Amino acid sequence: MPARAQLVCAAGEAPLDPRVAREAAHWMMRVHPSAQPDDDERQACLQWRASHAQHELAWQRVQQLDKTFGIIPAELGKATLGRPPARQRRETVKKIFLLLTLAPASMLAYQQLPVAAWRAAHRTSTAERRSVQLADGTRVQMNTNTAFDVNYTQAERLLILHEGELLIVTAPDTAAAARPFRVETADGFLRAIGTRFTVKRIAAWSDVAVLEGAVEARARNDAQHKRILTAEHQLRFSAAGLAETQALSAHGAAWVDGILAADNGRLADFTAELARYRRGWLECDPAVADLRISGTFQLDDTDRILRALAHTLPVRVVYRTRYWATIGPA
Amino acid sequence: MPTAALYDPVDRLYRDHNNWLQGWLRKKLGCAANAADLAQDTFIRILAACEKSRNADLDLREPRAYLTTVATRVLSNHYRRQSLEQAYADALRLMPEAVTPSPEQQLIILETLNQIDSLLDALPHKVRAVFLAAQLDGMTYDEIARQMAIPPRSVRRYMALAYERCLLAHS
Repeated sequence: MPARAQLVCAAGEAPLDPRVAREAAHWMMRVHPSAQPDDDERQACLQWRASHAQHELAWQRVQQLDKTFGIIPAELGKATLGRPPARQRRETVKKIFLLLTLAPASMLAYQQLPVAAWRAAHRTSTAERRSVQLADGTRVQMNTNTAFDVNYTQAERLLILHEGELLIVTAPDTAAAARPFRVETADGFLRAIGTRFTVKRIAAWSDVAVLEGAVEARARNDAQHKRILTAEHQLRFSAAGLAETQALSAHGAAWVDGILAADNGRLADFTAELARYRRGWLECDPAVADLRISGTFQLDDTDRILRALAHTLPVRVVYRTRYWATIGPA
Repeated sequence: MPTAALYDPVDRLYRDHNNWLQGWLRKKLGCAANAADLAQDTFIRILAACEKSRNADLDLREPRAYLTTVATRVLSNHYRRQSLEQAYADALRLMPEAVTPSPEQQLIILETLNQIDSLLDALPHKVRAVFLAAQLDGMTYDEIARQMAIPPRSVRRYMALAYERCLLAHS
């Protein structure tokens, strides 16, 4: 019990005035890195904190919560704290049960069962990249930590991406009647129209980027909206829907050549990207999360990238264990 | 320091109704060992509440109604923790061996997750999803709004609400 209480309120501390708590929460929301606050906003927050001892006290308590979040590896945090709510969990069990009894081959079941990624026919481990040629001549380049299955039937050529990132170069179908080439992720469906494109599924969404040809995309739970994505465009989608179409980012497929590129990106984003290629955990201290970074880096030696960071930015890499590194202020 | 007198009513509650409570929990859980543990947790929770409020003035006119109210909370906390541990075990299994944290780290992380999970427990699902997207994925409010297809104003409101609930949860 005491351990839990300490998270926001050490035992014996005076309870917070609810009004002050609400104000502190409001300020926390405004200066959170995700809010992209400007200097005026930060200054105003400092003034609020300084204006009353209670304010600072509340501020410190709510800060503690953010620090606690900071020590959770993002992947574990998402898989556990982001698990479906109880009612939905029960429905999932029901749904899976139905699928098992009615349609054992249905591909819907996999999305609730992360185990599928382990059992996938094709997978790469951390930092591994590999190229696979499929029966019809389609070539698939796999990035780090990637798992997919192939399911070619008479009606379609289906590729199921469980996690990770693929560059797909489709081949004209060898079957007498040309079958559509489709990719399925937990978030939705893609149909390739003679093409070269990348598809990525990490975190809680999928990204598709078209280099040549075109791809039709639709979110899993929104059959109404399909969108055709032409060359030099990219799109993010979750099960709920498609985000806006964007111009292809310059370095989206640089990984194919073993390169990690950044163009004035946030250090936190760069770190998250780099972490995909490293065994163990790599974290970025919120204090340096908003530093900007540009450059191209060889993915073969991520330790060297970390050393380079320490040279070019005011940061220091602290190794808590061999596999647990944190990028913090110098 | 709490005095012995503070605990007297709880002591009486325990002696008179512990067996009944265990039976009630056993029916809910279908497991005697867990039922004994959770009955214990129920009394610990009552003791802690008395200690916190320096007040042992338990409403004992309906002792069993009172016990089941507290025990229901203990029970839902038990289910919450169980589902968290299940999700955690699944996530760990999915990690490549070289990345898997040491058993000691695993425990620390699980406890930390449990603390946060209990703080976020009462939050509506959407609020929780927004909060996690900002805290764990580092997405900007605009990105979250786009992805969840809700107005940016709602994202900001949900963030503030999540912080506020967490702040007040244990004070």
